Amino acid sequence: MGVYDYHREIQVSGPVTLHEKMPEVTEGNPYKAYVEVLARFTTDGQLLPVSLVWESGRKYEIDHISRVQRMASRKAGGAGICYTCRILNQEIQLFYEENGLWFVTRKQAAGNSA
Amino acid sequence: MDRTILHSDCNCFYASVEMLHQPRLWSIPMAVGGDPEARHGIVLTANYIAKKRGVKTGMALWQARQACPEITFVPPRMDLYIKFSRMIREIYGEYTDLVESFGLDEAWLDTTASCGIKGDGMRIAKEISDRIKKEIGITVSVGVSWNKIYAKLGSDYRKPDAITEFSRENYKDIVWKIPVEDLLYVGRATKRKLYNFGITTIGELAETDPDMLYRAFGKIGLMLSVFARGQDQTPVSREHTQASIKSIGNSTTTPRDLENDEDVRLVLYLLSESVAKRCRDNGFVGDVIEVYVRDNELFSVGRQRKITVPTNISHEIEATAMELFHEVYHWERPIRSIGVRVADLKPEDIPWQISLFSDPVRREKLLAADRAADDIRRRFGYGSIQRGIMYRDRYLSSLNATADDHMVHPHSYLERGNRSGAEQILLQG
Repeated sequence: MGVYDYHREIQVSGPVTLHEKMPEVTEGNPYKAYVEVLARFTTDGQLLPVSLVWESGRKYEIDHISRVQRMASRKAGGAGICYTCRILNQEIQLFYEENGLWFVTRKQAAGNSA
Repeated sequence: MDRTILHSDCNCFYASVEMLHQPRLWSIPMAVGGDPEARHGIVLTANYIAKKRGVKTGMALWQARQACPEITFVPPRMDLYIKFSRMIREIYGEYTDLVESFGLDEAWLDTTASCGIKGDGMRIAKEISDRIKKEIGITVSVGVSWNKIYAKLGSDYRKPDAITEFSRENYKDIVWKIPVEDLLYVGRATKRKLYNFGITTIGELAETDPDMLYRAFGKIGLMLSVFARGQDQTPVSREHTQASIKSIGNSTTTPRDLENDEDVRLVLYLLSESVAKRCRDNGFVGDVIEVYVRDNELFSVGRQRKITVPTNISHEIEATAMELFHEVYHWERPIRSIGVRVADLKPEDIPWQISLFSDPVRREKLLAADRAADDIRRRFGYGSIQRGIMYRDRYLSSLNATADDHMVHPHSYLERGNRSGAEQILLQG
């Protein structure tokens, strides 16, 4: 426990949902959006996100991280390390679930185009 | 000086973690329940909406559905609960190194030494409760008192998301009015006996003459008296310390109900082999054998016996277990789960008095056979060598008796012996 295998082989291939690939991901949370994140480790061992790729495929640079704290998101449905980030002068909360996955809370439920 | 002890209890822990991850479950009755396919079909935890409708922990899934037809069942995700339990423990660890877990969802904290920096017990309790709500996303009930027993009663007193303090000033008005069966170690049988003596509340127990309790219940009577009066001195154990192994046991819920002696013998062999192997692996022999049976209505009985020659031979463990089984169980109902335990462990090279009626040569041979089977299994896998009885029912013998899932269950309060100080206090008094 404690060591997460980021390099494990994901057996399923093709156009399947994240939920089907990874049983730890809960299905159908309309306010939870898993995103691709580029992150860096500092020399003193801190993990910091650098940019994220939104579902549209557009990449957003993180301009500033103002706070890092453990937090739960009741709205999205999850808990982890919450990075309060500024992207294009907007504040967003990016959560790291400590299992290789990052999510953000949607402002509107999925389907209503976030 | 009085200690400051907190008992923190996560409200409906498994259900809360699932509700956090699936927000649609917040507003509907739901329960985390085992996999009905594998017949571990019982409710592990229900949320408060389901509890209000009469769903209780331990109910079979079909019973829960009878009580609450629109209930949603969620299969358990133990990895996730263990992860959340660990995250909560990290928060406790910021307040004291004296954290003793009681299962995944409960813990005692001794904050006596940190009160100078962090504030009194109530303040620490409030801070911990707030942080868990914000950082982990679930709620806890906390009890604050000067001993572990009252702290635990405090966390049970008001739920969910509450803090209760039992102080020297208020305990007689509140704790002493609580029904006696809420006390740790007052089970069904003890409750009935206490009620026969006219003892129905903790206060009445506290005011009963300890000598009389000793005569009626033995040592446990003294301990209950000390518990009831708030004189329990059992320390909160330091984080990451484990009691030395005192017994080795294994129990299982079988893939189908056991219906006759033959079924039981098969499962007892599976369990005894696994227990005997673990004894041998750890270099132990034991001379107390215990059997535990639970029927399909979840009533359970158990019995133990001291045998003359300490053993780690699977055949001997099974034979004693079978005898005990015949003594305690008379087939009122089919059996759902069964367990075997070897206790009073000693190093295997300890000298012992050879019994006049045992056959040392045969014992040597049985032990050699067990060791040979261990070796074959190590090299070619568990299924490569089996007793003939396993072929009587391949489905039943397919159960995995080697899995150890005991880490999730609470350790016994008395695991490290009786540290309540019962005898000393009563001798002084």
